[in-house]
Amino acid sequence: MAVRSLTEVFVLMRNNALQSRHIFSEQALDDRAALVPCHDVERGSTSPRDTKLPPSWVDGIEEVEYEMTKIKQKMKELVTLHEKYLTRPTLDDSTAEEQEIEVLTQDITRMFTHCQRLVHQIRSRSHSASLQESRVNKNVVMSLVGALQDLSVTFRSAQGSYLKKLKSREERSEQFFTTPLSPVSDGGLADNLHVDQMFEQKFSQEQLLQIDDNTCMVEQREREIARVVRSIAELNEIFKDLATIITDQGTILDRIDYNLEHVQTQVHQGLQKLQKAENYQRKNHKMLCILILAATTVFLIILLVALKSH
Amino acid sequence: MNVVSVIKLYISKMIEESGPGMKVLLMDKETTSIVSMVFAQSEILQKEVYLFERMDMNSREAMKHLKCITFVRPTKENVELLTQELKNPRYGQYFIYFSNVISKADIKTLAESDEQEVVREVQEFYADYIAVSPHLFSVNCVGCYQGLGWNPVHLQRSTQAVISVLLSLKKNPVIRYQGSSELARRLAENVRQSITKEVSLFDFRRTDVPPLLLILDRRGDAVTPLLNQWTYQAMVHELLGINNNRVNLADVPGISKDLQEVVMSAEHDEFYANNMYLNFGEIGSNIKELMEDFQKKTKSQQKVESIADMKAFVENYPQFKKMSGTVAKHVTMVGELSRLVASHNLLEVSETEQELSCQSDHSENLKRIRRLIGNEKVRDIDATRLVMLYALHYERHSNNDITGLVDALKKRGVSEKLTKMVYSALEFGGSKSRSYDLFDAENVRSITRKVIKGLKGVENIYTQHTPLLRETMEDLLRGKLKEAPYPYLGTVQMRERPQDVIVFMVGGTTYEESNVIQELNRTTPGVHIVLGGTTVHNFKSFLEEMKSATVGMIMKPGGSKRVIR
Repeated sequence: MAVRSLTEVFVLMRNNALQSRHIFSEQALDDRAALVPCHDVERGSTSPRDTKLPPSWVDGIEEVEYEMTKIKQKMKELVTLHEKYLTRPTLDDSTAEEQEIEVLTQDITRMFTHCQRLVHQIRSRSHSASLQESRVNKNVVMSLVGALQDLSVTFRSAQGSYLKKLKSREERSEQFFTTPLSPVSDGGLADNLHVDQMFEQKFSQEQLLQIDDNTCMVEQREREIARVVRSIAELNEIFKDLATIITDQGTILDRIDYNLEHVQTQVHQGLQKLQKAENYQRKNHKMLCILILAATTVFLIILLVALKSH
Repeated sequence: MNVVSVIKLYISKMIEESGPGMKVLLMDKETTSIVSMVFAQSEILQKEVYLFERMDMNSREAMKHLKCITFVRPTKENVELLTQELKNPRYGQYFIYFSNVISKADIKTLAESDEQEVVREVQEFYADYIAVSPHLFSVNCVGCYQGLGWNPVHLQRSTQAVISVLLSLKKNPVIRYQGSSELARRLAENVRQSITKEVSLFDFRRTDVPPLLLILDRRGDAVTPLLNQWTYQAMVHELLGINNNRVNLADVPGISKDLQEVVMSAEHDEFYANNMYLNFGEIGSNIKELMEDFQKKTKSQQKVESIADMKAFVENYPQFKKMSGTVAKHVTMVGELSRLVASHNLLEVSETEQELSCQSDHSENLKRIRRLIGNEKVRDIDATRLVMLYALHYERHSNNDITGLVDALKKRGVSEKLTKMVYSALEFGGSKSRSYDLFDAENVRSITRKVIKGLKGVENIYTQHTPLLRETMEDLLRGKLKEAPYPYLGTVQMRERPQDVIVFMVGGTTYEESNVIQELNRTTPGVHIVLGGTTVHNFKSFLEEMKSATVGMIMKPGGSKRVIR
């Protein structure tokens, strides 16, 4: 991968060219003319052509990008938290950490929604723009949506794996603690009856307390799972919304040359139509002229005949 | 030695160098193809390039908040356009990359026109060829012969392409060429001239074994592009035509609207990457597998009852959507191919072609060709290519019947244009232009090869033919390629067996040959071969090539003189 930089040569030549132009203009100066080119320079430097500001939605891109880096950061935190939580011994009470995880998950979800709203804003703000600008806008939206989608997929898969691990751990712990009872996992009525009987017959007060504890824990886990699932469901909504914008990778629509040709043909067709329209218009003008002239001729002939015959 | 990844690297580097911010990529016609071959639009969008523009389209408006990455070939027109652009800059900053060596004078004109100092960077990035596969590049110009000599425009373009391949791969090669070909010699000399002119550029770290550039001429093997192909990629090109990895399916009966043009790119399509070198039969079974896999997925997609199902669905949805696109594309493609094969009797035609190219039973061959010419289902061009193959094979045979076969073609109603091409083919690829005999089994090696082949039996009657390139390359890699037919340019000689080889085929290469090179790269450890050509031919483009090569020449079929007007 050899490259050769010509920037230095180019800058040197550019400076030379500028200098020679300068010298040339200085030579042309005399006392009287000295003030005139000054005006020129001033006028040149404040040429109105450059002053056009970028469209307002450009700031939105940066915002989305910033938000996305934040999401990435938070996701990293979340993953480490998940791991920490999962590798710790299970018997501990861990509401604090759970809450932390929950807050973080909610944060990320909120940020996703925010991003989505921003992208929508970017999209809707360019409606009044010119052809070129709307093309840029379309591409910007597409790329942002693509990036966002990738991010959301990783987030969802992280959540999913966490959920799976949580569940499997729960099953394992249930095996340990509630093997003979399993009141939550087995919902059968007969079983329950049987268990109830067992409660009455065999368990001491202490054991009952422990069972209460266990069920409590299980319920807490259930709640947790429900929360994660909810966050996934929320994300689904966003995802579906975004999926309608993105083009399919690997199809002809994803080819640069195809899109360029497409634009070209569009422009070409537009031009043709314009020319046609112009033609029509001109033809109309001619037709009108001819008609008016013909009418005048007829009128004049009649006038002539009328005048002669009198 | 991977030309696709090298071009990708160049383009990524271009985009990176301009820093963060919104960018526009300004290209000319050829660089658009170069970029499109390796990057999909969505990939480039991820790099903050939000607008693509063609230099030669004039509908641009000022957008000062964009950085402009200009990637163009160093042609006169481009420099002219760029000068105007810089005098009246529409974008905030310019990063200019030329795809090849540019002259100082052009730099000067550009520098003088940059009055507002918008240019930040001017560089040469040597991505001046179309990377078709990791081991295959093309220049995309048909008709490089002009009356059996070089068309000067294409000669220059080919030299530039070869130079840029060498530079991008960082090779300063020993050059060999096909001695019988004036064109190969001239290209070789031009390449060497360019290297000596830019000696500082070619100052790479020396390797133990120097890389080798071998320049060949299509006229040495005119048979390969005449044959019908049976591997997936080659077949698609032969029957439908691949143009910069795009295949136009608009003529296929009953095609749906979003499949009228499809992309066949190994970079972005896993199924294609795995199957492009397999033959038609294997593709059929693989498609079936793909289909079954897809069906399974569709079934699992259908039942969305629980939240877990929903989650799984959403997670797999993009993949699913992509897969459904791939399946639809390949099923359509293979369906169309098999329709064409059946309706044009291609199996029988191909069998005869293979026999013509590999065996020498004159009367039997003649009989079969006559029968096929009489067959209604066979296409005109297939009948013509059979006669061409026959003419090339039996040119020196004492009682050949070329004129008789051409008459039979005429009787069949084949157009005058096509029947004339039989003599053009003879002129183009006849025995006097070949340094190596494609058909005869006179030297000892080919006899032993034939005997071994006879013992093993023919595996597949449709793929008996191996291109001459395979033999040349095998000889070369063993260090046994003779010097008389393939001389070195200059006094440098190579004693060792070459490891890095760049082969360039003047007059175009074929996908069959690309297949051979891919196979060689895979099976010989430590050897890297890159194949290139002025274009990648199928029969139709090859006809064009031969036509431009033999325009206005006097043909001599069997003694009687004919003039092609």
